[in-house]
Amino acid sequence: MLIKILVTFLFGGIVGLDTTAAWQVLFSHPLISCSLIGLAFGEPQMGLFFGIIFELIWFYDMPMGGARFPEGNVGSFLGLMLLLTFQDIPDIPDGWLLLIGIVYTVAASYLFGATIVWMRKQNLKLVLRADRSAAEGDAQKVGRMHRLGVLHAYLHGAVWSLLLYLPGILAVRLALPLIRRMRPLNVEMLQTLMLGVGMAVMFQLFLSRRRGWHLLLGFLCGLGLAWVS
Amino acid sequence: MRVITKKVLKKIVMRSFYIQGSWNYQRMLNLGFCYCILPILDVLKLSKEERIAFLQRHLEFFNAHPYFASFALGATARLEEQYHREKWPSPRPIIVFKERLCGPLGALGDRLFWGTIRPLMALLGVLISLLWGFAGPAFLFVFYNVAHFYFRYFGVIRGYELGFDIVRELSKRRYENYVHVLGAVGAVFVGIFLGYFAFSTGGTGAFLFALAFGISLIFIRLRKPIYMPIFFCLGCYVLFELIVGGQIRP
Repeated sequence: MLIKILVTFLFGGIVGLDTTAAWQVLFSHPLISCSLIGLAFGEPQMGLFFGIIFELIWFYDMPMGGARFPEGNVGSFLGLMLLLTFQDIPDIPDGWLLLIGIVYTVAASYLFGATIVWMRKQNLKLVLRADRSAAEGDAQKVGRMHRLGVLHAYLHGAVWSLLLYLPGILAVRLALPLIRRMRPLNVEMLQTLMLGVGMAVMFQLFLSRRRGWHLLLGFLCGLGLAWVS
Repeated sequence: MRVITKKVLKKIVMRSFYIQGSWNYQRMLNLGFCYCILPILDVLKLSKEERIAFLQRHLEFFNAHPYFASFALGATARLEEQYHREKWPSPRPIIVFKERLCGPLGALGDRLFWGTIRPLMALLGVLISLLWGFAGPAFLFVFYNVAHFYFRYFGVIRGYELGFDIVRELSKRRYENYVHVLGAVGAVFVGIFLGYFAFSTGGTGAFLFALAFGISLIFIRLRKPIYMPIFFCLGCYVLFELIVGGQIRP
């Protein structure tokens, strides 16, 4: 448990950093981050499965410029951590843990997204300090202010990941007696539903440029591919 | 003679990975831009007044797509070098140049990377993951970053080579063509995914997929937040499962 808390803190910061503040090498994307976390905790299939579910959905709100967006990358990572925390607990009917993980991911993404606005407002203080250093001609201090901004982004990701993860554990623990009485759900169907939502996002993104013929061509190729395989 | 060497430009490239680290609502990428361009300050050997002026003009408002900001970084490095070497009467052209680049760099980068390459690579990554497991994340990471690193590096180098002329480079229709072609490829792959999924899952799976797809599309067209279709689809499914008692099976 302690290791999971530590990983949430350390990795949450990295995921938060990669989304907008630094690198942006897609390390933070659910497909990559969840696969890595799954591998690290000996549950590669669960990680990949969770990553596939959430990879496409968050393209609906992209972190462009000053846009407010749900931080789906950190949310998906936290959702997987929650699943990994409870995976060994017996008597939980099939599918319910995944369902809770999905609901928690969405909620955590929106909450974390709201905190980014706060973080960006705080960055202005660093800019004002940098202004003062620039007036003195101190380039090193200006550089230091920016590095502080990067550190701030890391700590913001790490601390908020932890602050969202711990109440998630508590909520699931409280809900366990109720969940145990439920009928099992089909995990594959849950994945299918989420992929349906994700594909609707992709459809909107690519079809908004009037590419009906390309879509139709692809659809026929897809049918052929499925038939052949 | 040029004083900004390739080594200095590489330092700028490395720093450009952190350009958004202090993003703020008032002046956006200003501090990030200033941080990235600091390596040229040492090689230009400026007096204290010139250093102050240099720092202050690069702490002005700046915003662009983080990858495409590399073009502005390279070009500004070139202009700063010319300004100090050729003793221009005023740095005003540099300031105006940066201001004018914000719009095109933001628009091009957002359309090409955020709106086209990233979703296309993610879509392919998911498709490959469904077919061949962990090859999907590896594909997404490697192929996306080939384009990403190319623009970070090429942007600074090309920007430095061209200086003011980078405007002409960016106004070429080339990037628009990339967006057009990659968008068409994306539409084809959305079609492949839909066709493959509809046929291969069959029965209840295909029906549920189509239902979630259709409902989500309605919510998306109505510009509702994405949590609405997710919760709506999951809620309907769970309710139905509870009512019929676990009868929904692939």
